[in-house]
Amino acid sequence: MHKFGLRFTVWAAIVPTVLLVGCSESYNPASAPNMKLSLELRRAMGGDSSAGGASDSGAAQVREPVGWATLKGRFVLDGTAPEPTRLTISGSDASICAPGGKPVFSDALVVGSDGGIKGVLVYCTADLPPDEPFTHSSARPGQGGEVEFDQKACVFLSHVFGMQTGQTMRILNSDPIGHNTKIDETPINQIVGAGSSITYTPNEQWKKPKKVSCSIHPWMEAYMIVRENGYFAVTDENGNFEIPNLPAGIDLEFRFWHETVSLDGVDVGGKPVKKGRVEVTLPPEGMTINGVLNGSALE
Amino acid sequence: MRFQWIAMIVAVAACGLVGCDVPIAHFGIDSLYVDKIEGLESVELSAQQQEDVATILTALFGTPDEPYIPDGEEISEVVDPKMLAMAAGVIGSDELGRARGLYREHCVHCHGINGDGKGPTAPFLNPYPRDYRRGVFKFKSTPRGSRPTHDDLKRTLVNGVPGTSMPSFKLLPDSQIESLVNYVKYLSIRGEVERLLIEETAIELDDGERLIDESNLAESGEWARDEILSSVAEKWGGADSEVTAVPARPSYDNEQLLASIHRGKQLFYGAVANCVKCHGDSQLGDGQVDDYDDWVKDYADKWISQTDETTKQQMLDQLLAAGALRPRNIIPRDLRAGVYRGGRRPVDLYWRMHDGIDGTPMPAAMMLQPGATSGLTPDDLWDLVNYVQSLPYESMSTTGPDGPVYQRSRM
Repeated sequence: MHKFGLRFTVWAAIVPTVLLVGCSESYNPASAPNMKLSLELRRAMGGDSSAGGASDSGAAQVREPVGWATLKGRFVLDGTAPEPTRLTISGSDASICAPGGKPVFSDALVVGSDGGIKGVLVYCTADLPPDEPFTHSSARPGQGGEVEFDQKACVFLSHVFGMQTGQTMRILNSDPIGHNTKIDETPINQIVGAGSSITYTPNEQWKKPKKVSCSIHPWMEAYMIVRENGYFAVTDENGNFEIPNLPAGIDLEFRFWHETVSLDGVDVGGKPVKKGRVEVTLPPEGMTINGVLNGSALE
Repeated sequence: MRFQWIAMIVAVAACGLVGCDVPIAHFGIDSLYVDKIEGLESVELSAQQQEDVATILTALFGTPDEPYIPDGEEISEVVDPKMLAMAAGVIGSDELGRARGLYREHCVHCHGINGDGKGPTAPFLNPYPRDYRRGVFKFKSTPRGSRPTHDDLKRTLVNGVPGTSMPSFKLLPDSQIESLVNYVKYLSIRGEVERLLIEETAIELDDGERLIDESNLAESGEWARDEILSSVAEKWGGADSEVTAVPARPSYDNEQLLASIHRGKQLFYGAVANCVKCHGDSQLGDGQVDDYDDWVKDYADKWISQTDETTKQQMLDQLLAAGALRPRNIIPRDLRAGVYRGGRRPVDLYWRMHDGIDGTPMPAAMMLQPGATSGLTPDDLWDLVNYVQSLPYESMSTTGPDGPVYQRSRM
């Protein structure tokens, strides 16, 4: 073969290869749908959208509760509590928000003198029928009443709290300056004038807590949750909480949430909290949790 | 020798003809949201779980080239599947010469194939293009938390957003604008459903548990359509009935208008309306400038609250590597510029003040409620509208509640 012939043949092979390789598009397979399954799924939905609307939630409870029980407990920190974070007070309201340049600290992690962790939210996520024997009259959904949520010296006075659907949240402003209260993923972001108040009545329960903030003073933060029944509690300054009148003898799921601390591993009736949740059946005599959290896990 | 030349030319030409594959457009997954939810719930979504989210989304919404909308009462009132064809797919026209691929012709370079607001031009724009996937839009006639009406979105397409890179599409035929409005709603609803499916997987499922039950596809599919999709479509369907009514603007003679502007000015600096806190003493938008909008807070919440500089930088690097746009502060509008992003009509300004601006720190006004002692009346809001409209024409040296406040004196 002619010596140029070989070279041309090689080139004729290389050029298309390079061109072809150069064209490939990267595609992240983790996000790729299973096309075949998606079509089967679409076909399986059928044309009738009214069918399948009925859900079997709640009705699937096989066992009946055997009375009422209390879940209580305490969360403590093992080790030294980190120094509280000092907040940056900016803007023209410093004389009200931090009079005399006084330091203002974050409420994100508040540890008592004997290690109790404040602000741990515990709530029952079991899909319970709203009446007895599953839901005690004291925790029944739709009970009215107002929950006061106040702010003073540019601090929300409740840092973590829960309320029930049907209740009205009265957002007060006890400062001589204006605030606005913004609750993430809700219709609320409203001015609350000096010394006045606004109200908010949520009509559906939330799966997880949402953040409350003030846009004028962005360091102000709080968290809240709305649940249908009254089976929730927040630990006090000693780290204690108590949820009375829970249905005993049936499977319940509880969620444990804290703004900065992971509560995984805490023992609840012999089971560890995993991913912030645990499934337990309460005995009629109730159950006590002793949640000891390793201080070294905190930054 | 000649033979080899011919062979090579043929090979190269063949290559050129076959060409690069036109890459098949795909929606991808909202990986920043997956990261966020994984962090919040201390879980890790498996590849199979993420694939299930994508599979359900494809079953419900199809692909960028072949969009689909399942039958359903709620969704059919919001998105017209027939209107999607003109906006979807590659740019071109059909046998009858009707436009195809309008979204990729006019929108995709900024708003991205899935409406994530991260098209190739996005990093260069300020403000960044809107990410539709939370169903949150700023400029609308409905209260905060409600979806925009069809007409709200159409107004934004027709007029553009003054002061931003969003142009007016006034010159497109109405049918094309209608098609694009439908497509924006389609992408937005798809994005909201995607977020719900990711949340559902992270919060409700156990490790490795699947969203799709392959032994009962009907149940999985109907759940996705009748519970998840319907809940989103319902919100969109309700928007028309939630439009904020605007009482007629009082008619003013010259003296009355000046008096109204003066009252508006007092309200601007007062502790009931509180405008001054963010828009600043001189209305230049330089009051509270440290905050972020909800789109940034959605992926950068942890980064925002981090105080340690080194950790903060590491977190930022991770976010950027994961595809986030560099977070920027949200700056209150400079009311002296005379540029109104959501429209310059008095009614537009009234809506902005009455309902706030969704997705941003701009709160709704505290309107006077029955029995309350403090709050604004509709006439107060009109006074504020008149004052704001007068600002671009007012001399800087006459600002301040009690006298002049010069910019220099505040530095």
